[in-house]
Amino acid sequence: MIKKAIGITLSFGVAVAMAIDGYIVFFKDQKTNTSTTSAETTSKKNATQTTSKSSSSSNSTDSNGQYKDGTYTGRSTSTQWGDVQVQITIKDGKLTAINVLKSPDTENKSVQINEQALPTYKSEAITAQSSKIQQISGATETYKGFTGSLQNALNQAEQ
Amino acid sequence: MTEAKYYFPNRVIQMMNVPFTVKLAVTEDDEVVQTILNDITEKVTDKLRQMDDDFSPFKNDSMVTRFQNGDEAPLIDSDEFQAVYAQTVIAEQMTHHYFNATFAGKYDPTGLVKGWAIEQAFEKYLRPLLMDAKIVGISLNGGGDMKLAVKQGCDFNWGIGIENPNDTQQILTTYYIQDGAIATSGNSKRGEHILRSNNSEIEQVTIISSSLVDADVWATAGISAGTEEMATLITESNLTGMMVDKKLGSIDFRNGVIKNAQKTSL
Repeated sequence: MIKKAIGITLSFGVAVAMAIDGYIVFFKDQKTNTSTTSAETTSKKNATQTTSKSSSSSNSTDSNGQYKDGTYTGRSTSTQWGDVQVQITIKDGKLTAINVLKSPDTENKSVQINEQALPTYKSEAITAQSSKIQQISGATETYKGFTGSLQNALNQAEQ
Repeated sequence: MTEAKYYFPNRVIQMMNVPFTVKLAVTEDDEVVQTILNDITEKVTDKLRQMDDDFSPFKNDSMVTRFQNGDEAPLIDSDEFQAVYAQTVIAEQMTHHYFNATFAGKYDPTGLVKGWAIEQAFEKYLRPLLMDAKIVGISLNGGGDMKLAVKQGCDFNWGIGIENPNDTQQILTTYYIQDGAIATSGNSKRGEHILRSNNSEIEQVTIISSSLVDADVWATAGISAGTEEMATLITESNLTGMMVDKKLGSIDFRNGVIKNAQKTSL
């Protein structure tokens, strides 16, 4: 009787674990990873036990200069769209997967930044000769075009 | 009360095939300021050169070229390459791939690298200058895409004229910005990194954001998306700026709301 109860509890526990794992692998990844590949499951499982520092490459290559199999997770970088990390999976010496891991609130964060830190501005029609303009924004000028450009004229006038 | 008089000492750096302008707003333009400007220009130049060496697809030993040729090392060893790579992936995704980091079938982050380089150099070298009593404003403009800031509590605003795509000696409007970034993309001058839809009548897109990478990515995406699709993206992602359409003229938008929509058929 007790044995049976333990058995049921155990299999229930396993089922729950599977469900959570399934959620993490198939559902959550779709939200947080920007690219998913077949190597996803492997890379996810290895993520915790592999080195999380990208620059410690001294022990990541073998004697032939090839990268050892495994998952490499880069340092977290903060960008305007939130924190990001690149995760690379090497299998049989070949790059098999690149995942970009975003913090779960990345999407929301970018909207917030847009609203809160939005520069104040007003627009008005004005001539370029006005002393109120110091910069010109336009389709990227090349060197050749710069000589006759408004930006160049402004720079000269203000030296 | 008299209006404060400002001076705008500047230096031009030629790098990545575009002119970069380092420009300060100062209350006094003396030798000290000129020395600071020279010193900063040198540091910014070095940073831009390093970014160009690392990310130019035209240099044989750049990390981008190596990665294009199947060498995965940059992605594993370089924090900066990882940061750029991650951003291009996010940029593609958030713009529904109207921003594209692939050129001729190969990974090419050129459309993002200039903005990222400006952003990095600005924060590292220019931002600290605002501590100086005489320096009230700082800006770094790379071929029309720029990052700007002013001293806190200061009433100075950077005035940015938006070039008329049909007459580059004229400006369409002026934005006054204290702290932020502005980027403009057009379809006439450097089209190699911009993929245009065939029926697009869009001529120019200007985006204002707190981040230059963000502004630059959306301006590029706008040209590729075309006017009607861009209108959807503007609403979806709360964009601010203006676009110029051949038929519809100038269209202003702020926080995702298109202002003069009644004049257009969008």
